Amino acid sequence: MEKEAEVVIIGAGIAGLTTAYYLAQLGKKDVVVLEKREIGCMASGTNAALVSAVSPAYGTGPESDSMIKMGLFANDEYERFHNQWGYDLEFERCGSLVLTETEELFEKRKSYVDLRHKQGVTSIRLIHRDELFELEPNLAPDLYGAEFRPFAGHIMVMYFMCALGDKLRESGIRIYEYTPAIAIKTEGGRVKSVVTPQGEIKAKYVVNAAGIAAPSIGEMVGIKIPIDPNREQMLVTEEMPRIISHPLLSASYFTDLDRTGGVNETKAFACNPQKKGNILLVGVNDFVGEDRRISLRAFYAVPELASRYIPMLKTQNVHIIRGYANFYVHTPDSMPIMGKVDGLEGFIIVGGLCDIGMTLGAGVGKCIAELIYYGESSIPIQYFSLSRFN
Amino acid sequence: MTEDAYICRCEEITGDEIMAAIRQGARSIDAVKRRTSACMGLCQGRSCERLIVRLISQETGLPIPDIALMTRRPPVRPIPISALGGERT
Ligand SMILES: Cc1cc2nc3c(=O)[nH]c(=O)nc-3n(C[C@H](O)[C@H](O)[C@H](O)COP(=O)(O)OP(=O)(O)OC[C@H]3O[C@@H](n4cnc5c(N)ncnc54)[C@H](O)[C@@H]3O)c2cc1C
Ligand code: FES
Repeated sequence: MEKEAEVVIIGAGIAGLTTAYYLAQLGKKDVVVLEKREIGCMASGTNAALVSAVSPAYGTGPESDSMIKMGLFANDEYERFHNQWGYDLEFERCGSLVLTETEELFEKRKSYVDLRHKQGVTSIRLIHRDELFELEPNLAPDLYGAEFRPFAGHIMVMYFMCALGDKLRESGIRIYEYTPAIAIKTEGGRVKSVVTPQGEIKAKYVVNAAGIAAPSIGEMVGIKIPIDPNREQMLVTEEMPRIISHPLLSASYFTDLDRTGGVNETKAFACNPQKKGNILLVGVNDFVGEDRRISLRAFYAVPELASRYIPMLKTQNVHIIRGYANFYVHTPDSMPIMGKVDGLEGFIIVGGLCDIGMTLGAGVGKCIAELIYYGESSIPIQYFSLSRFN
Repeated sequence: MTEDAYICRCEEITGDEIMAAIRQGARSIDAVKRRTSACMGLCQGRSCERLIVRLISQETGLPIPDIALMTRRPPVRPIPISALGGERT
């Protein structure tokens, strides 16, 4: 392994790899990525694959403008990668639906949609049941309506992470798998080097993109990072003829979810139909530390929740072939943590991507690459600085 | 073994596709899975996993015990949703 690199990125998830990608695009190729295990082995390779562009989780403050810009940029990029890279990334701008169960929930979403219109996202709109059932005839007949989001899409995340790794290597960026960062040395208030079992690399910039392990990287330099693993459990159905054609979320996903971290378990339905005909079902998330097992409860609760929205799952006796769990990279205010860190020159954080890391994905990497290259990013990211927690 | 034969029958992944993934750098079952979706079908790798481990070993010279086996993911057999819940509550 080399003894020196301008930028050392810790973690080969979506945050780390897109940062490396946009650094290479800007012409900075003296970049090394360290990965504890394999590319995409954590959240970025095992998520629900929904790239919403404008996620309902963005909230309503001024930071949501920046998140919208990142998300819209990301989907344009995913489409370009899909068309130009020579890999079938299964990207499709299929549109998504936020299902409103009742008239009350439908009315509640009006102010949200109005705000997005003001922010320039004019294609988002509320649809009534007639239009909803034209789009999705197999939904539960009692649903009142939905918010239709034509810019949303999905992507095959495993293929995407591998392709991104290949593209980086082609452009000359070095990625070392099974090479964890185990210590970071500093000198005179700036980062000096990253230590791995395979050797030490001097670096001008060290980027902490370690997902739920970001706090342990912070500890290496005495910086506290408030990130917690929030286990999300997913079930996968067998392949079958399409019974739904859009990713679906329940409106209660956004109204019931206490995003301040005060709840131990939430049930919020989301699903994503895959190209092959499987449906990914998401449902139960909880705070259980780094326990990656799937709970027996989820095996009951997720199908129960899913068949409330898609009754055919039950009436057609669809089979569940797999269950798995991974972690949302949870922060106290459900917003990312991005940028430089006061008091330690050269140390940069990109993480806390919660449940929207793929959606913000390429936008996040572009911002951090610009921050390193130009000293600031074209999309304002000051809302996401670590110092907001002090 | 002919290389255009299905190694993963559930997902219809051929020997050629598995070999391509190994040549692109995959050294574990998980890494092959991430590139090809082998092992993700109805049987969840029970039929194809051993074959893939053998191919990785043949191609890379790694001993079979060193090739990380796939993360075991429940259920062990497909379960119909009606057996799990799905009642309106
Ligand atoms: C079940 C589930 C469903 C989800 N669904 C969606 C969705 O539909 N849409 C969406 O937008 N988002 C979704 N998310 C969220 C999204 O997946 C995450 O926000 C995103 O993947 C986080 O990316 P990351 O690069 O920050 O972290 P990760 O992907 O976790 O990457 C961090 C990497 O750092 C490595 N690492 C850790 N410690 C070290 C070390 N010491 N040295 C070197 N490397 C290290 C890890 O091995 C890992 O590969 C979902 C998440 C889960 C768990
Ligand atoms: S043969 Fe590969 S998953 Fe069944």
